[in-house]
Amino acid sequence: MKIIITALHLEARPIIQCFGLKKDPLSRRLPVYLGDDICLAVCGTGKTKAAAATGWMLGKYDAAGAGQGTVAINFGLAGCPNTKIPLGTLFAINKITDHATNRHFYPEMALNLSLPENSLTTHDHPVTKEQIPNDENSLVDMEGSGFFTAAAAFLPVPRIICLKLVSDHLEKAPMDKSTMISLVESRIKEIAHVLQLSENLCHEKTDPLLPADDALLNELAMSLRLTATQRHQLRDWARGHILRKNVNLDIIRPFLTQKADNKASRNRIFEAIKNELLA
Amino acid sequence: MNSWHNNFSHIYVEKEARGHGLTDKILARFPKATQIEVDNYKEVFARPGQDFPSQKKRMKLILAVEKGKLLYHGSENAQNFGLPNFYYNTLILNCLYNCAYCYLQGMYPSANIVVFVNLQDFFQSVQKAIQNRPDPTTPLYLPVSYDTDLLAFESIVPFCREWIEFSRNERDLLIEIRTKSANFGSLEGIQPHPEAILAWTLSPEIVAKNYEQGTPPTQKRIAAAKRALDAGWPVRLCFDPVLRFPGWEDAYKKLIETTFATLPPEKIRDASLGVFRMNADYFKRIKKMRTDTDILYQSYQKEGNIVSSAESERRELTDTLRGLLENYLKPDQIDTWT
Repeated sequence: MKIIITALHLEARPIIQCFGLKKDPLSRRLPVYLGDDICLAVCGTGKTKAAAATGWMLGKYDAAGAGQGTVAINFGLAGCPNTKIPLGTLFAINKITDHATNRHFYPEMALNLSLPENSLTTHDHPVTKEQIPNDENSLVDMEGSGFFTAAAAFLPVPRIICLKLVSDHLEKAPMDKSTMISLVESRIKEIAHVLQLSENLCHEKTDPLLPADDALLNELAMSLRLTATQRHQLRDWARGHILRKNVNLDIIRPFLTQKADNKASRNRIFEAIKNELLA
Repeated sequence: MNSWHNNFSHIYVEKEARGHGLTDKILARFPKATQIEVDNYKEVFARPGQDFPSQKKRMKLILAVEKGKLLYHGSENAQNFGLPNFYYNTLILNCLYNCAYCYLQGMYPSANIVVFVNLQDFFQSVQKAIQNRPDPTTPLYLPVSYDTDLLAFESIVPFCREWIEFSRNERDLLIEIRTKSANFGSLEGIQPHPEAILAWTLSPEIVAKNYEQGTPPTQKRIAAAKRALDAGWPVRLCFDPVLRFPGWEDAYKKLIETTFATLPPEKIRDASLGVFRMNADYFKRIKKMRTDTDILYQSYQKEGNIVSSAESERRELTDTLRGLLENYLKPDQIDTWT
C-alpha cells in the first residue's frame, strides 16, 4: 500500500487523475482518495496538519500493521532559493530540517529514483527570498518535517519517501493555480515511476514461514489455547525447523487433532510439539 | 537500471569531520557520491526505525569525529593470549561483510559504516594507555580491527598502514589486525613489524559460502596469509566461531589440513579458537531481524548474558579443533574460548 500525503488539491489532482483514485465518501474531515494500492490524503498547509494526516492515514490504511508492505510518500510543491534551478524540477529529498526546532531528519535513500536530490527546510510560515540566507540552497516547504516525524513513528525509515517539485523561487507574488497544476502534470510520469519503484521496498523481507504455515500455527494455537508467549515460542521453533531441515511443518499437523482439557494437558502437548520441532 | 542505490552512493559528513585530511581522501575516492552534511553522526547512525538487513545491501558511509571513548577494555568473550593489558578501539563501526553470525547486527542500530577520521586522537589515547597500563611488564595488546574488518577497507581508508607505522614507533605496543579479507596486496611494500600481527579468520568453505556473505573464499584468505608469511609478517590463524553443522568434523579436519598444506606451521605465530557465543540481547535483536539463516536457530543456551551451545557441545567442538591444530602447533600456541 502506498500512502501519499499532499498539502493541496492542486498537488493531488494530477495524481488522482493519473491513477483513477476515487474519493472516500466516509472520510469527511480529511479528503482521502483511494485506488487499488494507493491512498492519497489532502492534508492542508502546515506541518501539524501533515503530521496529523500522516498518522491518521497510517493508522487507518496500514492494514498489515507495523508498516509491512506500506510506503509513505509526501509529494508537494516547494520554493527554491536558487534561481538557477528551473521551475518544475522534481527532487528526492535526502535531508529535512525543521526550521523552528533545527532538528534534522534523514530519509534513507535506499531506492535509486533517478531524480536529483536536495535538502528541504520546513518553515512554520510562508517565506520569501529575503528571509533565506544567501548561500542557502535547501528547498522550502511547510509540511516535510511534520510528515516525516509522523511517518517515522509508524514505519521503518526506508519506507518513507519525500518528493518536492520546485514551484517558485520564493518571490512575493503567488503563482496562479493552473500553472502549478501544469507543473505537477509535467512530472506525473516521474511520480508514477517512483510509486512503481517503491513496491520494491515492500518485498524485501524473507520469512521462511509461508501463509500456509502461519495458518497452521494459528489453528494450532487456537485449538490448544496457547498463551501469547507460547505462540511466540511456537513460531520461533517452527521457523528454525524449516530453516534447519528445509522442510514444511507437516510434522506437527497431527497435533491439530489433539484436545487439551486443561492447562496441564495443553502444556504436555506443547512440550511434545517443541520436541518435534527442535529434534 | 538498478532500482536500488549501490554501496556508498551517499556519504554523510559530520561538520567537524570536514577539514580532516582523511575526510578529503575518502571523499576523493567516491567522487560521484552524494554528500550530506550532518551535525552529529548519531543523527543518521542511531536514529530509530532503521532496518539493518536492508541497509546492509546498500551501505552508506558516514565520516565522523569520535568525541567519546577512544579506547575500551577488551571483552571477556574475546581471547587475550595471556596478555593482561588487553584493550581495543573502534576506528570504524560496522563491516563490509555480512556474516550471519556477526554480533554487530545486534549491537548497532544501523548497518551503515562510520569511519572516524580523527586518527591522531586515537593514537594519543593509546600512547597514554601504554604509559598507564596496569601491568608494565607486558605490552599493551590492542586489536585494532575489532568491530570491523580494517584490511577489507584498506583501499578506502588506509588504517592498517597507519596503525602499523604507529606501532613501529611505540615500544610496549602489540597490535592485531584481524581480517577475512584477501586484500594483503594493499599492505605489500610495507616493512613487516614483529609487533603487528596479521590475523586471518578461516572457516570451512561451506561456512564461508553459507554464512559469511561477501567474504573471499577460504582458499583466498589462506593464500593471502601465505603472502604475508612469505613477506615476514607475524601471522595468527583464527578459527572463530567454530560452528556445529552436519558434517562439521570432516569440514574442520579438511580446513586444518588445507590450511597447513599451504602455510608452514613453524612460521605461524599462534592460533585462536572459539565457539559461537553472543551477548543475549544482541542475539534476541538479531533473531527479530533475520529470518533467513538457520545459524540463529541452533540449540543454543543462555548462560548469564551469553548465548552459546551447551557446555558439553562447546567442549566437543573446541577439543576436536584443538586436537586437529595440535598436529601442527604447540599447545601453548593455541588460545581457546570455551
